[in-house]
Amino acid sequence: MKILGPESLVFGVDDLDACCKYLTDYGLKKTDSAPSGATFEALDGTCAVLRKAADAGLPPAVAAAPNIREQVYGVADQATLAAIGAELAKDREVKQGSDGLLRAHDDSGYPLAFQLSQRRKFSAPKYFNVPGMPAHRPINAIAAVEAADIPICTLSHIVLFAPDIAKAEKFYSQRLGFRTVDVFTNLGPFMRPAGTLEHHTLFLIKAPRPGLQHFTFHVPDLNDMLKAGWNFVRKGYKSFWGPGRHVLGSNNFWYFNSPFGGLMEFDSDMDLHDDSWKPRFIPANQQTSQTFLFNFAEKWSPGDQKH
Amino acid sequence: MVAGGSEALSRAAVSNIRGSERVLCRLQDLADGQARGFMPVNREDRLFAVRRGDVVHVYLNSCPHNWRPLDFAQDRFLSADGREIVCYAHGAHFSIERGLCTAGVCQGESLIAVPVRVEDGMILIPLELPATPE
Repeated sequence: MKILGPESLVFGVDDLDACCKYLTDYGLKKTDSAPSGATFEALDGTCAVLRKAADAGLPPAVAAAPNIREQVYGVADQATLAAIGAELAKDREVKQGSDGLLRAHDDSGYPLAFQLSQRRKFSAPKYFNVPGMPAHRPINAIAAVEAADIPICTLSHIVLFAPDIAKAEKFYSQRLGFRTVDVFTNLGPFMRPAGTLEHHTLFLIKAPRPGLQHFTFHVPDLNDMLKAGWNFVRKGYKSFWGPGRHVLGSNNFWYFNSPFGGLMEFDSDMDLHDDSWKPRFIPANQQTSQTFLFNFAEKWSPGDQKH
Repeated sequence: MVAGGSEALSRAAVSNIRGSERVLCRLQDLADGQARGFMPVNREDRLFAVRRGDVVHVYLNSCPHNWRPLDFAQDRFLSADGREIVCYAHGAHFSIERGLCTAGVCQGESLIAVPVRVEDGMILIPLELPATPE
C-alpha cells in the first residue's frame, strides 16, 4: 500500500473567523471560502479545511468542538485505493463518497478518508550555505530579509491521542502498512506510511480520551521555522513549546496554542528512514524530547549603540 | 481623565496592592460574559478572570493536563459562545463556575481557582496565589 501521507485535515471549529485569521497569519493561502467554512493550502496543495462544528456533512466528532473531524490521506495509485477498500471492508463500513473519497474509521474512532494524491510539485528557496558544499543560495541573494514570506511547503504530520495505544498502532501497521519508526515508551509510536521516508506523518499518544494533540506543516529550513515562529509571537499568538529541535525525527519545532482543538506547530528538517531502520524505544523526558530549547526574547543589542 | 484613560487605568491597576490583596481591575473593565488575562510574565498571563453578571471567577492560567497556559491569543480563554472555558492547547473544556474539566484529555480534573471578591467596584484577589502541582 503506497499511502503517501496526510493531504488534508478537516477541523470542526466554533470560531470560523478566528480560525481563518490564524491560518492566514500562519502563512497558508485561502483557496476556498463559503459560509460553512474555508480551505487553506500549502505550496503543494495539501491543506487544512475548516468547517463549522455543526456542519451535518462532517463525520461524527471524537471530541468536543473544536477538534479534528477527518484526516484525508493521499495514495500513490488506484491499486492502493482498491487495496485499502478491500482490507478495511473486512471488518468495518467503507463508503465511497460523492466526492470520490474512500471513507472509514480507524480503531480509535477517528474518521479517515483516502484519495488519489493531489499533491502538486513546488519549489521553495533553499537558504542554507554549507562550507565545502555547492552554494544553496544564489550569489548576491540575501537570506535575512525582514519582510520575506515564509513558504509553508507541505502538510507534515498529525499527532492524536489514543486511549488504546497498542490497538491504535496495530491498525495502522497491520491494516494500512505503516512502519513504526521510533517509540516513546511512555507515550506511543512515531509512524510513517509506506509511501514516504519521513520519520513520521503520524504520532500516537496514549491518553484517556481521543482528540487532536497537534498538527504541522513543514517550512523549508531552520531559519524559516524560527522566523515563522518569531512572526507568529509578534502577531500575538501564544507559544506552547519551542523553538527547539526534537531528538526522535530531528525536526525543528515551535508549538502554539490554536483554535483547532490541539496545538499547531511550525516544523522543518525531519529525518528520513527506510525499511532497514531499527526503531529506538526510549522514554520521553526533557533530555530525550529536545536537543536544544530556546526562549523567545524581544530584539536587543548588547551595549546598544556603544562599541 | 485623558483620552484612553479607562484602558490605561485598568491595565495600570494590575500592580495595585491593597493590604493583603491585589486589585485586578475595576468590575466595569471586565465586560459581562468576557474573559481577560492578568499578570503577564514573559508573554504568558499568570491568571485569567471571567465575568458572569456581577460574579467574577478567577483561575490560574494553567491547564491541569500539561500545566501550560490555556489561551491561543490575548484574552481568548472561552468557547465562541462564551459558555465554557476552553484550553486551546489540547481542547479541554471547563465549566466557568467551578473550573471542572467536562471534556478532553483531563476530564474530571480542575483548574486551580483563585479566591476573588468584588468590593467598591473593584475585583480583588489575595497577594499570594495558589501553587500548581508542578
